[in-house]
Amino acid sequence: MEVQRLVDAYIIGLGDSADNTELRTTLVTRISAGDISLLELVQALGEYLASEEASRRSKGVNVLSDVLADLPGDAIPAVATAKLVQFFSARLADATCVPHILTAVLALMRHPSFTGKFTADILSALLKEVHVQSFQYSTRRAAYQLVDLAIQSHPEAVAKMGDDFVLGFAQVIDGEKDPRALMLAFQIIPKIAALVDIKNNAEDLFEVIFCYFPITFKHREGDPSAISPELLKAALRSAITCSPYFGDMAIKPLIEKTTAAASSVKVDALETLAAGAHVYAPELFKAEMEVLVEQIREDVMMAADDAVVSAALGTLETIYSVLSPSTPVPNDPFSQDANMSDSSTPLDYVLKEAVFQLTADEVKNPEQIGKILRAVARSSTYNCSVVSDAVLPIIVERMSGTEVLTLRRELMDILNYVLSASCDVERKAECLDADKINLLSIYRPETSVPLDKEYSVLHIVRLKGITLLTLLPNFLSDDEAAVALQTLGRAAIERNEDENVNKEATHLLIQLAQSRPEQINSTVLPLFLDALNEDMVAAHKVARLLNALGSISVAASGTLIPVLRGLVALVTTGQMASSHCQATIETVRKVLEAAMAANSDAKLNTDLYAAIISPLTAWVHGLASTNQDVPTKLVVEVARALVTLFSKLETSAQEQLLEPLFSNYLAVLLSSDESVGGLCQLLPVFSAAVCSCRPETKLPVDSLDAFVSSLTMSSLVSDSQVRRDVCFEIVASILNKIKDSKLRSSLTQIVLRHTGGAGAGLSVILLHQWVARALISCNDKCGYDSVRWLLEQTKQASPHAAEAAEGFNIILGEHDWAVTPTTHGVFKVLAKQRFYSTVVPEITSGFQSTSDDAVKANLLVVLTNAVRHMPKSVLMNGIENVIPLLLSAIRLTGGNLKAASIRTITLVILETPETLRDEVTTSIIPLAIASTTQSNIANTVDVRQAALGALSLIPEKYPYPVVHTARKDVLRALAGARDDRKRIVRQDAVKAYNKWLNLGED
Amino acid sequence: MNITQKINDAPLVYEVVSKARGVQLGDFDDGIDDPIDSEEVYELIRNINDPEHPLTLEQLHVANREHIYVDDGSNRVLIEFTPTIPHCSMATLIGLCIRVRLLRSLPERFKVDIRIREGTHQSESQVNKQLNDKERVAAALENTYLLDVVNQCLATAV
Repeated sequence: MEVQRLVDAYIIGLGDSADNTELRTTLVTRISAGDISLLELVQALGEYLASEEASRRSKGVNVLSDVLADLPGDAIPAVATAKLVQFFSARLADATCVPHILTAVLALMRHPSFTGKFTADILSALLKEVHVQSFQYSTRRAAYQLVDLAIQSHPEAVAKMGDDFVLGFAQVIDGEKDPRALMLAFQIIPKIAALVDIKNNAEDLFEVIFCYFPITFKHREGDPSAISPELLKAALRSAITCSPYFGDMAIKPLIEKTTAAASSVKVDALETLAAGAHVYAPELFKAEMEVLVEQIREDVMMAADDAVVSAALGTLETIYSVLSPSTPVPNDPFSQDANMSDSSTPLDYVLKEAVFQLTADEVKNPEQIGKILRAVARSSTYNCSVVSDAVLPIIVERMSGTEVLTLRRELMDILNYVLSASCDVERKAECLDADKINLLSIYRPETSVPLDKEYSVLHIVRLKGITLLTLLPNFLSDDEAAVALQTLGRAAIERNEDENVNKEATHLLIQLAQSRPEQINSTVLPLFLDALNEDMVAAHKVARLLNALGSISVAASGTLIPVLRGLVALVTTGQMASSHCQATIETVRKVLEAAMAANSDAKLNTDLYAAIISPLTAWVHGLASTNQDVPTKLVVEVARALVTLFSKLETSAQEQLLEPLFSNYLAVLLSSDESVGGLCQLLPVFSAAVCSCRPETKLPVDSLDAFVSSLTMSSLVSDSQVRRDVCFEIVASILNKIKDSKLRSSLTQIVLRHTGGAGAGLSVILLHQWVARALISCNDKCGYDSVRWLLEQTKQASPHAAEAAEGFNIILGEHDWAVTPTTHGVFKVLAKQRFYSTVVPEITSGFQSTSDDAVKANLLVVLTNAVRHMPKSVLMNGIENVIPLLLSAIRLTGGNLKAASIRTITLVILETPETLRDEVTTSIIPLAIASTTQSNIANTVDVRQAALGALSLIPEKYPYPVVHTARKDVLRALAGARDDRKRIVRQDAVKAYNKWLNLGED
Repeated sequence: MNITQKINDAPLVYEVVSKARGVQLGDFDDGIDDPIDSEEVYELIRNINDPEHPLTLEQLHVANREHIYVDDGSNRVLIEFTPTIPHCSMATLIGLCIRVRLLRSLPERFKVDIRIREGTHQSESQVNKQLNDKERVAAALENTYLLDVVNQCLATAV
């Protein structure tokens, strides 16, 4: 009775659309616990299930399906499943009950008691009794899911149904319009084709799916269904191409679709054909090849859409690859020719036209002909041979009979495409060997052709050909390849009217570096090095050659060390000008960086260090020991190159290399003797090595405390700027990398103890700045003591107050090696946020509490330095408090700081324009206008550019009513800025002027 | 003539060879003056759109670097442009676009002459006269429809 009560309540709930979860849970729990049997439930539902009223019947099934969906597998006995299946199969004829039955069956099917026989029963009833398309989407989806689940869980039962199932399913999806349902249906079809022999019903099935081709639908925004036009297209494609039985019905209409005007349809049809190539019988394609080739040729020749061209060529290649015989062509070109004339082969459709074009007086569309020939030739080794046999003799003959350069170029272009196919199939056509001498003579450089811009395309085509000959497997002998590489090398190096020839030659050498690294090293590298070593070589040529060498060296691992060695040898032999030396070392560093980013293993790093960095450091050491003046930039460049490798070395290798460096430089660093002046210049190299050590690397000193202490003392008394900076860098780096906070704190005390007696001299200020940098980045609160001390200094009437303010750049800015992420510096998350939230309020309050203009200016310098190194996300948080100060900074400062302030304001305008809505016309525009005048010495080029950038952004970010009052003034100012003495400023002024001129036009 | 029909249906489109000046070291040195030269003026007009096609004057070789003459000292600029075909009725409009672009971009001290390259157009002298007549240019720019067309052509140049 209780069941009846529950069921009645449930049914009433359904009628009122109430939440039945509780009732449902009760029913499910009771049945699972065995308090109520499933039979009792059905009995209780009896009056509903047998009712003459459709809605009551539907509700009855609804209750049953809800309960079944939640019941665990073991709660439904096998007998009950059989009865339920019988019941549901019979009830599927009752349209009102179908939606709930499908849900219930889907739930039942997941239970192990649901056998293959049941699957067949239900499927038969579904396909026979239910007119699926008359139901709404959710029911149709359930029907497709049911079929899918049936195929998945009981394939043998479905297979047994055979033709009935195929035909039934074809009828089920006939007329389907919802893309979501189509997606499911299309996904089922390949599964059916794999499971059942669809031969008898292939036509019916094909018709119901092919009518959707080409399929498009617009994905509406906010549509939760996770299907996209591409997915739907792919699903339909896999359905159309899932069975060889579809071939004779699909190929013709698909080829017809390739003539469509819309390029998306063309691409879809071509890609579907390509997908079908491996499924449909090749004979079917053979019959249609003439039409298809004609259509593809037209598409390629028109070249209206790149996507169409690449799809057309891809399809051509795929289809020819399945049509091609698998055996390679016999080694007799003549017999092949005879075959071709006897019976028409599919290749004829392409070759006839190509041969016709090649023998015409004027070769039209050489690039397109070449592309088609390449697509066909690369489809198989057989096709490659046939195409080469047909085309090569004609080209060779025409080349020998013409001197017209345009024609020669066009023929060479086509030949290049054919040769590239040989490279792609990794097997050269046999006929190439026979024509080797002719081929070599075709590509031999013609000295009669001048290196004019007009002929650069000809040169480039020839260089490409030479590369292809070199890439052909087993074609050129080593000597011939060396000559080819030399030709390319010279083309890359020699001065040419058109730099594209140099660029192309370099590009080709990079390609060859991967396949022939040894020959590049032995043939091309010396050419480059000789060119770099020539007298009076121009800087831009050096830059070009170094770039080329850099790209070649990173292209293949085999060329890396030889090129770098060559470059280092050039530098260390001392024949190069120092400016070129610097450019060369810079290239070495960039190559090392690229090599490290690509692949960094311990052995390679050690080898590179020994081969590259050691000779460089020895070279500068040699220069400095003989008291020569070594340019600082050169030393820094060597140090940067060292950092690149040294930071990547293992701890043990670093420790080993530090020993000699310490013995060479430590005494120089700590000495106050100026007689070691020469070596003093090289201290940045020492600093770079020590700063790029790993945290666990042990420095070769007896006591770290004593070492740091002596460095600090030496720095505070030294007059040498280099020595002082190096000491600070090393101290900061050591402090930053100490993991134990107590140890770090005690070491910090030791360092700062030395400043006790000394007043606030420049060295002390710098020391505090470096200590702050080291500690703030690892979130050590002691760092803020130094920051506060520095802030205090900026407020003093001391000669170093300005330097204390300026030095905030050291705390937050970039550095080449000291306390940076690449040199294993410790950077904790939120360190910058913490700095910003701690320091900026202090600056703001300091600014408000002082009336001294000098102090205000210093605080603004600190603020600008703090702001410009902050990430955007940090900066935008609470920016409104800082804006007034930034505006004051624009008024009071000049140069870099002024530019930085303007750029910060610009950033705010870009990100959150509403923050500055009130200030924009009252303060920002007048200040920006004032900053564009070149007569004011504070307005450097950078400042003027920044101001114009801000002005240019304002019309984009603010509506017309907000800024229109300023338009006249701004235009007047910008008209003046258009006559600035610097070109880059004028360009920005023109941009801004036109934006303001069009203000409100939109 | 049908308004949608184009005067030159299939103009020759040339590949644009990038010859941008690039940033040089002296660019940020305030002590060095950068006089206005033909390259800079070319940079201002090369991206103007053709009134008929979605192509720039540079792509159509209507504007050429070599046909711009600038004398910064005496404040003179002479631009010669080449219509794509000799009977191009858009020549005046193209000239007007160039003039407006330079009016809005060059310093006001410059006197700008715009001419059709000799021998490249049937009504060369009439068009030249129109383009260099201040009154007529001013009157043309009063015409809002014409100004809209000019602004559309210049939209890509900014």
